[in-house]
Amino acid sequence: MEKIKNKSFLMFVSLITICICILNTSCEKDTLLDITPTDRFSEDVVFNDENLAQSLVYNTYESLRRLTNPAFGGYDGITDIMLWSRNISGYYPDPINFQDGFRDYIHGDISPDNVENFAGWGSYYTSIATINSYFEKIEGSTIDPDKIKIMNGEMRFIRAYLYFDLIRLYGGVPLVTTSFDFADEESLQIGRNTYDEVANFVVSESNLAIEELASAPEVMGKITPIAAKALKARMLLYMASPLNNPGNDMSKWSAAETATMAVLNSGKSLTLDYTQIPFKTNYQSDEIIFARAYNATSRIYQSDINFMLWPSFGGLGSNHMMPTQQFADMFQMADGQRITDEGSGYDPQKFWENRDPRFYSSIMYPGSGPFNFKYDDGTVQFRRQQNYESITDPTGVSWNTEPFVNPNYPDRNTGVRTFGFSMAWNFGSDGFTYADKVFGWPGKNAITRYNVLKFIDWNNIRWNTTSDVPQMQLFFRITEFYLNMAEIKIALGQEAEAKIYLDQVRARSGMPALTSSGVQLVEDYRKERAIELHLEDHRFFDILRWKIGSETIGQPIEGIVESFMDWSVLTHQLNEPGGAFGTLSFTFGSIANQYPRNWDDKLYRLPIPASEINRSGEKITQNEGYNR
Amino acid sequence: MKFKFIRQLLLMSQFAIIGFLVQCLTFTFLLASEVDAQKNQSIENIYLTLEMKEASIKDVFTTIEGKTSFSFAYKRSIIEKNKRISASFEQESLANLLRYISKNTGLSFKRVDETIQVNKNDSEGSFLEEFIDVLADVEISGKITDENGDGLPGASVVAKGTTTGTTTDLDGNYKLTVSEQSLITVSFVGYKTSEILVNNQSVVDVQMELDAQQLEDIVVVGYGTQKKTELTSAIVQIEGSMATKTPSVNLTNSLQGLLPGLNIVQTAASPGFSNPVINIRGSNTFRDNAALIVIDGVASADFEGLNRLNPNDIASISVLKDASAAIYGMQASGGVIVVTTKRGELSKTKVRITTSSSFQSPTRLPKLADALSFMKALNDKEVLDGLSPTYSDDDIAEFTSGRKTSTNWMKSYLDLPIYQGKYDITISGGTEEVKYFVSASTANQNSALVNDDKFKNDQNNIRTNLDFNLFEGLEMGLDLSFRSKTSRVNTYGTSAGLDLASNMNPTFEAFIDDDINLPTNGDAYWSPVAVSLSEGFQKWDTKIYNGKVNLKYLIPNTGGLYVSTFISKIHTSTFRKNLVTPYHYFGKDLITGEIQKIPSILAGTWTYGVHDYFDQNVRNTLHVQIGYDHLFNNAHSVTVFAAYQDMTFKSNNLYAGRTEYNTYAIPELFAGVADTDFFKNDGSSSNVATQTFFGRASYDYKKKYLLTFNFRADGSAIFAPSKRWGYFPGVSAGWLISEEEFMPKNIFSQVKLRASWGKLGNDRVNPFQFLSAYGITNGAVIDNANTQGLNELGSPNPDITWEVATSSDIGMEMSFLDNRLFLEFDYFKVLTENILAKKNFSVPDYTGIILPDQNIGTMKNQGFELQLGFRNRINKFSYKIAGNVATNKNEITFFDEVPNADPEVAAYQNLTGHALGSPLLLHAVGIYKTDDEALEGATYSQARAGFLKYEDKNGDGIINSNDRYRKNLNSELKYGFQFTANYAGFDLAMYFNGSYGDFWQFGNDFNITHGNNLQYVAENSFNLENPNAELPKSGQNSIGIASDFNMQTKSWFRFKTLNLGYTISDNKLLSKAHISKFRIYASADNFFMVFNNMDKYGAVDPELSSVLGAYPMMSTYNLGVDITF
Repeated sequence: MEKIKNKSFLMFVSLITICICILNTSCEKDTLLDITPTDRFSEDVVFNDENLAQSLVYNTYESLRRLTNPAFGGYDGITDIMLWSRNISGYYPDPINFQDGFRDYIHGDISPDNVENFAGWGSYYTSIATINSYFEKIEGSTIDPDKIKIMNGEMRFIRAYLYFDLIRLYGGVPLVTTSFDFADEESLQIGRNTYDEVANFVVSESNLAIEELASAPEVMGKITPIAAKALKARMLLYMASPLNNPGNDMSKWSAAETATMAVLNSGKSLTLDYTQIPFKTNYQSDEIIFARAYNATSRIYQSDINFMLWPSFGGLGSNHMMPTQQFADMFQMADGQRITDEGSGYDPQKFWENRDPRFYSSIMYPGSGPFNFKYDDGTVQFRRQQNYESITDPTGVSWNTEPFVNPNYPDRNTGVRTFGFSMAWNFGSDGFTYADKVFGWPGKNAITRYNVLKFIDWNNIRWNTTSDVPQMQLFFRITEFYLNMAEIKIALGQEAEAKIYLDQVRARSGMPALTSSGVQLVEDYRKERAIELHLEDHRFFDILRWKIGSETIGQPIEGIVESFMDWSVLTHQLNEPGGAFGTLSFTFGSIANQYPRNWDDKLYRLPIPASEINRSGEKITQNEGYNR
Repeated sequence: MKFKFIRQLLLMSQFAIIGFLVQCLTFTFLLASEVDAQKNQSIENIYLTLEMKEASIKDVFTTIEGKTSFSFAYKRSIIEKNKRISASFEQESLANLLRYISKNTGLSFKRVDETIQVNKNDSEGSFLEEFIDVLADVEISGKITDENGDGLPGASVVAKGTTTGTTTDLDGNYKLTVSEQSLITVSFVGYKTSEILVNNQSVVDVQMELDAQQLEDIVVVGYGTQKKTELTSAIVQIEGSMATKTPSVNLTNSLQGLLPGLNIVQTAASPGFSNPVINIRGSNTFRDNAALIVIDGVASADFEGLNRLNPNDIASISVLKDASAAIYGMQASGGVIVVTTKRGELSKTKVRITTSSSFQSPTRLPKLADALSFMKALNDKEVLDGLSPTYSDDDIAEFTSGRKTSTNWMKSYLDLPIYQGKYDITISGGTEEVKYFVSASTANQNSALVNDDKFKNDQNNIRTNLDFNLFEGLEMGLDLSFRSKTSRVNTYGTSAGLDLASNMNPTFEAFIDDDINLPTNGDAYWSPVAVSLSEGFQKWDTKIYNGKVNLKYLIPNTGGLYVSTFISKIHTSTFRKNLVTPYHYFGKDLITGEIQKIPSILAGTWTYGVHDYFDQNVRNTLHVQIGYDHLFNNAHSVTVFAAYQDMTFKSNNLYAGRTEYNTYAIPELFAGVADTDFFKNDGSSSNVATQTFFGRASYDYKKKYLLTFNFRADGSAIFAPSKRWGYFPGVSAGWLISEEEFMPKNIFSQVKLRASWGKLGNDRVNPFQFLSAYGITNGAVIDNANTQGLNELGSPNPDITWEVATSSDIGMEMSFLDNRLFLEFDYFKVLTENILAKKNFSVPDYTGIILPDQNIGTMKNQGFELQLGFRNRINKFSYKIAGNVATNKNEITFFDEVPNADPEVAAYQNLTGHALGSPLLLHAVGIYKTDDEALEGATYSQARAGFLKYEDKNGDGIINSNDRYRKNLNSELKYGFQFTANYAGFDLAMYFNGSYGDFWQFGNDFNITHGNNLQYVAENSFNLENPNAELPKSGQNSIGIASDFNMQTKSWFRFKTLNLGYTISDNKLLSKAHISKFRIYASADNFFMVFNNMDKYGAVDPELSSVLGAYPMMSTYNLGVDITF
């Protein structure tokens, strides 16, 4: 009996031993709970490894606000030149439901409670904190100091750009350059710095970055010393502008002039064909100072240029941005006359005739085209012309109301029609005719009757998940600095020199030299700038710094409110061979379905978010004109 | 390692010793005994004082038992229930006392050693016999049979009042030598204990009677079992068989409404993904509060919890609701569910086959607006928005004339009914040396989507539980189980398609010429049917391999000291294949009739091609336990153990994909194009570990006073070394009042009062937040090449540590009328501290800090649970009816708030003081009937006719975010009841459950593309003809801040399960086929809604989280057989 018991015990012990050994194959490991995570890098590793530190820097590039933010083209969609329509459920825009923030802004409802729908705040500071922490942790790193110098320059540029962007939205903001300790609650409460303090910081940091980046490789997509020069020059122009320079201190203009000249002398030049600037084939263009490229991996899905800007007909495009009549009217006649000039030959019913060549690469208008359309998988191609309408109701969808004068539409009662139109409405079965109505469905898309053309790549498909559609976000290109210089020269009273810079830009597109002066020159310059830089996120900020909100953002948007096709007079004026078209006529006016605009001068600066004021222990003060 | 292990053992024993000492100190006073050995004394010489006033006979016996060492043995039936005795004895001999009772009650008494046997008295006068140590031993034998007359192996046969006893063999036979006048008791779990007088017989056969209450008697608690009557904690348990009544392939769904405090919400229903939300007693943290699921002693053994276990493998499921869960420490703050699987028993081989074949159809589908209502609603909205209406009179005439018909997209996309099947075989049995339980089951479910052969779920479960009796005192168990689940869905996943279908424009046709192979694209988003016709699919293959070895060594000659251990290794792998292809829909030319196949693209972040994901993880658990169980002096019962456990969890994952294919004929990676630009891959791994010391000491005095301590020390690798350990003590006590003399036994069968207190932990938070770390992202595109990016994961918090919940519970258990009526009541309160939360609300954004979690929140949660039931048997008819109700209320006592400059506003907007899940909402008080009215009083700039009117909470004349208040959206009451009955061969089970106080809200917009809504909304929205409508104008009708409008209390009561079966046993024909039992049954799950206050709105099943589109909740109708060989 004793024997059996001993045997049992021995058996028990040996079984346990076997079990434990099966389980803990890592017997040599000293402590079970001391685990080094295998799904992340520790701080020590990152800041002593050249490649990892560089990765941290490259990740920070993404914090530069994309032009697709908050809408493609930045804030252009709430200015006088573009009308933004919100894409409410993925595919089609609704003219009345502006993106909440946009609606609140133009209606004057923007407030400390809702400003974060309109512009970022916290996201800027998250990136700034990352950069501040980078500068603290890179101290004492074992990485080659020359490499660190370049990375420092990149980080410094990004931080300066973020502050530049913040102050053009909010005015002075808290200037944070060191890390906070979340455990020390009192240290978290700070106040605002002035606009000039932050702006001067941007300038001085840009100067440092120019030096630090001196040996940076000049590859596209990488921040270069020229980019830092461009940031400094643009910052100084903003500082000299009426909004930020109420006393019109001429030394500020002079400072801007010097910095801008440095950019113009940096070796960049105007590209000959400006319509090709945005495409990837010209990615390495001389024109571009700093742009961020995207590909299938790094882009934000469905923020592709083609997806955002394609005219929506059927489900194929989003048509987020529509040019306005105000914009269309900015284009001069081909001979340099304004359309309002006597004897310009401008005919509103044939408004497309004899215009500035840039008109045809900027605006898609009724009857223009045809353009290539490809199905999203690239398998089917067909061509479409921009719309005309067969009915008198400008917004209605009942495309089949009497008189059934369009030979391509079926008679409701007999069902007879000449154009094969599927019950699934978003494709046409022929290759050479038009979309069924306004470009878009069910007729509410292009409510100005214009679509944009800039940036759209007709050789590519609209969008899909894999294809490498052209993607580029322009931050600085040389043309802007020709225009900036013209503005500076006008401000300094040197009109002749100003026109030298303007005419170089105009000449590239085949436009004759300007002849105006004085107030007229300022107006011509501003239109020239709007035309050249539209959809590049300049117009909104130009309006703010020029303080011209009430006559631009404050005015109702105009467009073609009615286009009518008279089928009794058939022409071949607009079509490809074989098509039959009637004669189009247009009525212009203010767009009916747009959100009312109430300009107030407080809107030159956005309100600081209310929660930030509360969290700062009221140390942060509100901008003028807003509650608290 | 060795050293470490020894140290751990030492630490363990320290805990055990401390526990034991505490217990001894507290309870030595109870150890004093008033009872001397009266074994050898004649009852003529034993004197006692007794006062009886209208006492029942049973009470008298109990009183005498309390004053002497004798116990009475009798059959309940011989005692006249209403007989009352009144008498008073002062130091009278026990013999005389018994004679008096005998005379007055017609009972005879026979004293055998310490037992007094009671029988009917056939003679005149009194009858009393006495035998002390004078009886001869006789050998008796016999057969113990079950209710069907089959031999019952393993039943225990004991001479009452002695230690003489044996167990029956495989055929139910036994042999025993006892004194000739003994009373033998025969007991077996699940049967009523029988007592038989030997009376010189040599053969004693007993047929046992099933005992419904007995089945519930043994309750699985953490690391052990206890008798229900000895429980000192709020633990509820059900038998596995209850879960098999519902024909659901998801075990959790079967438990709904059965246990109070166990809240199960079936938020999704699609095959393979119908994993319900389980929550015990509501929320007591604003973090993950999921119940910890322990299967056969291993925590978190299955990542899908209970859901995919085979119900026929389950012996019991017990739910630890209060501080008793503290024995599981680290993740027990949300309660613990302990699952015990079946094991082999001493018996001949039993083979059981169960089949179930079901059809399913939706419980309800949303009542969507038809074409005419939709067109009108949309036009009304547009007119009010100042737009021209979309639909002309001609368009409307198309439908009124009948030329076109309205499409109900939801119905078009469902193909009903659908099929579900379950098949199961179990083999069990055992000898003294080896016992075995082996099972295999398979279940499959199809999709409700039309044309969808991709959408299905298959499950397989295999289990082998073996027990070996190796040598004396040494037992070994070996459990191996395997489970697989293969779920396939179309590219868009489970319910996205139906969500869309519910929104589709009803004026469009769903199919060309009603041909389900020719789906249109509807209103041009994407068609679920078209997608299901495409080659694309997603497939999940999950496999879990589970192995466990346990050993228990009962150390001889120690009176109950044992050492036990188990190791468990669980290997889980998931292989997911995702084939993404373009899909096609169809169009028809009205003139030529030509049908065209049109390519479309997939929305969402899909990339065409094949994507393979492989995840695997291994969970190792080691457990060592030393314990001691002993009953001292027949009165002091002690159970102690100390244990050590550690767990390591390692996972790694791998992804590979190719994104360019010439053909999708073979959806494998190799078949993609060779250009490496289209190759993709990724992979990662992670690692966590925990280490634990714990123990428990229980003591009871005569099963009357009960006390339990437990203690647990948990170390978690995810916290910094100095903050790693959490200590979780618990204590509970019970008092069986019914055992006290003063309790009238004729009313109360059992009364118990119990209370518990304990601390429970929670470490379910992002790991390693104490470290400063960086993760990989996409960097910039530099020189046309992608670069790697690295981002800071947040500021490290070196102080991060355990979240601790302090749980208190007071409970009362009562049963009356011979245990027929029973009641259980619990009141509980949980205070949670150190809740891990980010200070996102008070730390300014301009600091840019990516905040880590900090131990800052506190919360209070309290509530009660009530269980009430009645069971009875009238001849062959037995039944049980039981109901339960539970409620809880939580309140956040500290939450990081946005500071508000206005203290008045802060007072009603701060979350502190409100329940978790109380959003800030405007209070809607009506609808503006005219534009002029919208300018009056407190209003907002957008307000117009048909817009909502709000309460100006702060009275400043403007409606803005400061007027929002906190609204509690939590469920107030959950309840359920069950009725089960048996008559002859028939058995019936009916389960009901319901909920009150949830909130739901429907939208009220109509849009031309996928913007349909409920018919009720279409008919009741504000428009110019109907300014007194119940609902505001559709579309924009508010300031753009969420409001409580449309927020309705959700209240429903469901006939959840019906199960009716008929069993044939002992049938000669069946016996020829070796069938001992044959049961045929029909059942229904989600049978019907008894009450649903959402009815009039026409929304989907109230249990689903959405209002419109979701994979519908299914009613399942089932037929099955259950055969035992």
